[in-house]
Amino acid sequence: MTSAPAPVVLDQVRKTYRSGPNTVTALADVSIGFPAGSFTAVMGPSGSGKSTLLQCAAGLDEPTSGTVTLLGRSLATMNEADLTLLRRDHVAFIFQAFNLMPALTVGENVALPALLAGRQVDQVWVNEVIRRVGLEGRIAHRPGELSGGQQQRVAIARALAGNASVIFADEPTGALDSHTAAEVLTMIRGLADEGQTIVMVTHDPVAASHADDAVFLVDGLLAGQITAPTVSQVAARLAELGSQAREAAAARDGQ
Amino acid sequence: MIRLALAGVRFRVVASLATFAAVSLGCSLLVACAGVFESAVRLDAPAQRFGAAAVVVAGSAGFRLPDEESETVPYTERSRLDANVAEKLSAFPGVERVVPDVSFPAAVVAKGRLLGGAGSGHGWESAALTPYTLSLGQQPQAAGQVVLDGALARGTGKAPGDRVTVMVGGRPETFVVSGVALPHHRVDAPALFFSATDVRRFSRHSGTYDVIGVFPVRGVSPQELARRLDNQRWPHLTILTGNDRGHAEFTAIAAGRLPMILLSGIFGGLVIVVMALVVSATIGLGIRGRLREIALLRAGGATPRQVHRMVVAETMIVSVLAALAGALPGVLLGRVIFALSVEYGVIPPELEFHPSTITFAAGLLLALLIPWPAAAIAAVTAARVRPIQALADAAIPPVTVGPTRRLLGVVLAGVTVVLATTTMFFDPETASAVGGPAVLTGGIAVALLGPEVLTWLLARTGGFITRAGGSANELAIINVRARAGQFASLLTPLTLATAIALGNIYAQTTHDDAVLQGRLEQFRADAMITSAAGVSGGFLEQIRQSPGVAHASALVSSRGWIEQPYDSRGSDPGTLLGIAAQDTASILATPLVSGSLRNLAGNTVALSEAQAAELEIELGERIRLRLGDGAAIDVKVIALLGSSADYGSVILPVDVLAAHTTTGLASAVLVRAAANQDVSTMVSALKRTSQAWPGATVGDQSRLSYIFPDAGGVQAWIGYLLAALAIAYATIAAVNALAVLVVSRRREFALQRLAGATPRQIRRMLLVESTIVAMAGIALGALIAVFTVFPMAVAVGSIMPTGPFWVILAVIATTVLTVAATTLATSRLALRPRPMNVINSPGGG
Repeated sequence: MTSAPAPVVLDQVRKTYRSGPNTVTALADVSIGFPAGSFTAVMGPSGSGKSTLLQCAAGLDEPTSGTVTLLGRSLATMNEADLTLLRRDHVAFIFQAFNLMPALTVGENVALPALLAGRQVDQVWVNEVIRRVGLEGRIAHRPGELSGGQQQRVAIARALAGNASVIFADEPTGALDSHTAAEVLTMIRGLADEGQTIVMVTHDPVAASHADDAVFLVDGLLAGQITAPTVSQVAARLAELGSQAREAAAARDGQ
Repeated sequence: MIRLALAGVRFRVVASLATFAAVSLGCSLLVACAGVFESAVRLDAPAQRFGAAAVVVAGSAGFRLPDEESETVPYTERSRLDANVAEKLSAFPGVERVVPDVSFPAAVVAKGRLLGGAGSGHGWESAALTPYTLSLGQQPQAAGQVVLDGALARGTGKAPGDRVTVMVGGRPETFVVSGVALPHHRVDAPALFFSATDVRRFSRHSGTYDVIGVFPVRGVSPQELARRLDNQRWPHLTILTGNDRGHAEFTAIAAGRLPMILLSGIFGGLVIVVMALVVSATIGLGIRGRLREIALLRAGGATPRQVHRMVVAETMIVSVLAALAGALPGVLLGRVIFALSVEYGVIPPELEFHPSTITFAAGLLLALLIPWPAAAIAAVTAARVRPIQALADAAIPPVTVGPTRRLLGVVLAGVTVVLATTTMFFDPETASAVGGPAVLTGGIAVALLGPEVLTWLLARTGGFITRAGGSANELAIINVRARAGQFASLLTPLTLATAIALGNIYAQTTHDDAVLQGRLEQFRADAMITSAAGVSGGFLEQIRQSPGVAHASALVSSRGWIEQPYDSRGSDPGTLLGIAAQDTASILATPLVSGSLRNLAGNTVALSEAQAAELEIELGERIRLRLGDGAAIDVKVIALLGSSADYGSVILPVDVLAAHTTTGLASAVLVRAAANQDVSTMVSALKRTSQAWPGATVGDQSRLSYIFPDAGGVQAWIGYLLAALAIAYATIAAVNALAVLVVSRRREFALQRLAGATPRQIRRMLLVESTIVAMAGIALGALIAVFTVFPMAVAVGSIMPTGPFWVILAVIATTVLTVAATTLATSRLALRPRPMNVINSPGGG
């Protein structure tokens, strides 16, 4: 998109887990950059390492080797508190479910990063972003009183309110019906159009079709990319990758 | 952060209620404890009979310990004043007049009993000390006349001119009521007033006064006069004003101070530890129930520090409210403890319960100071939560304990063992003071190591439980193992309750039984008669004449010290026994090691050989005794006995010791049956004989415990009461923890129900789970109790602990039933909402 340095860069990132006597490789030396203002869908079958990629990129998990650069800072050199501050000021998350603090109202949830940062909460701005996601009148409600789509819209409002540079979304529409999912994805698309960088993990071709690019992962390795993906392109690629993976697994088991 | 914390408190009512209950109850107990402590330190006992005398002069307040700079231990008997003190006082500037008081045991007999208990007789002059004024009749002028107080006159229905029987000098005597006098304010003890002739006849301490009331001239304040009198530094005098005057009136009050301070201290310590453990367990439980939410908060930009502060703030908001709510009931509770202690004779009834703002402040402060570090430590778990956990599906944290925590737990377990080991080598009194903390260190160790201990226990018993209950138990075992961290929050209070219950109670019974046994072994008696009115020579003679009696010996008991060489008994003076020389052979069971008891007369003494050896006292040596009334006498050691150093009494001639007691009379008679005599027939005959002597009670040798206050009885009772309160507290905490635990798993139950489990099956599973934990708690508590009870048994010289078996049964039954009932009640609550509603609620996880 622009020549500015990519806000999220993974370089030779490897992540392995010990599982009993075996070592499982979730990411195998993955290198990828997410340019500023881009909206990228990270896709792949279950166990392909897509969630690990997101967690490493956001500094929620530590890579076994390789480096992650988030907004120009190398995460390996930062401690937990520094990471937290970086995320608080520049990163927002949209998770599949339970994204919100059940004890806080919609308004408080949206203002949470500011509250935690000890900043004066700009109530006018909070009201404005809540209005933009269509939840005016719900500002004093608790998450328990909202539908799943409404809860996800609160999370989007929070990302808007904090003016986060990077938004990580993990199956944001996984628990929603298709109509609500479409609404939420349109809003996320809107965030990208305003210049925020979005990394979204999903297995849903429809969700991926809202992104600028779809990146595919199989067994911890990058397996291609589709720019301006359509639903059918993505579905076809996923089916192909899925059968390859099944064949590979059958071959392994047959040995 | 406060805003977040407040929202958290409002949202998590159940978890907050658990903390609230723990802190408010703890605060109540601490305030009660502080109230008892403060009352003991102040010892406010408003004067009753000495109410009119602005200044009261009494004898020496107590024994200034030779090895302690400032500690003075109150005498157990009344320390009297020389008659010439009255002259010195009345000549003193600022003194208007002095009213000396002489008291002796006297009680009116009505229907064969002592009316109003053991009362006292005085000269009519003493009536001015209260003052009493005649409402009927006239003052006693001649021998054989008596004035009764209003309560006695009502109780007997006697009026001036009537005849009345009075137990005086240990004998029933008939008097003519000359008048009825009423006190101007409340006086609880029955009072009888006699003529000067009779006072001379009945007083066993001629040439002395019990106390002297001093009336200052107009314009001189009592405090001013007391100060001037104090400046004279007359030896062996105590000048009292205000509420302190009660100390001279009620001699038992000063002696009650130390037990009260000790008990409230020990109890306070128990409550503090239980509260700290319970609060941190509750917080820990709350944190584990909301790991996902905390992880979200971290992902949302909260630093570990902020999460820590939020959890501590939540706890402190609840704690402040709880402490405030608990303070007032605490005062009431303190009043109840005090009243019960009075009823059971631990505290003299004249002592006032006086909680002041200091009590409130101290209780509140403690109640807030304890949750703070408890929350701070428990909140570390919350601060360690990583934001990634918000994404993980399985929210069950691993069952491990941090290395610091494990180290601390192991160290405390080690301390428990060390305490237990050292306790074995102490004397019984020190052992009972040192042994208690082992319960607490053991309890803390279990609290710290809880999750790992629980998994360890399950690994060893899991197979057995599965076999016993079938595969249905398997899920329960898996749950307990997987959630050992949470179940440890239930394990801790259950362990504490069991440890306190078994440890304190069996240590007490073991100690008391051994001490009583040790005391009893000194004597050979088939029956024992005690008398509230004192034993007179005539009564003793009748006992001797009673059928089947071979020997009867009067026994005087008191407490005092060997001063030179000092026996270091300090605040726990040894037992002094007065026995007539001719009776020693028949009632003393301890073998004579050297010397002879035949010449036990005048200033002579017999000691335990073991004690003599400890103090390097030789037969024939002269030692100095400090007797119960403060008198120091030099006595010659004429015999050494084979009694134990711990329980052996110092034996003095009966008349020598009697002269230094408050009543001046023997309080008990030991009786031996003739050869081939059926003891029960003899006892029946003795009971008939005693009917003519009101106040007398016939029993077996175990009545000796009335003579030896350290051998069980009153102090044991208050120990049980406080242990019961601590147990109740720990049990409530367990109920709390269990409720939070069950309710926080609603989501899990909902999922199980969707998978086909019936509510009945889930309840059964929960019941098995909590029973497993209850059993573990009982086992661990019993193990900790072993570390206090067995060392106590060794220290007191009996090998096995003793005590009623029902205590252990009651502890097990109470624990299991409480846990079962709570599980059933809370599971009903947790299973009430429809499964889908639980799963879709964001707070339900």
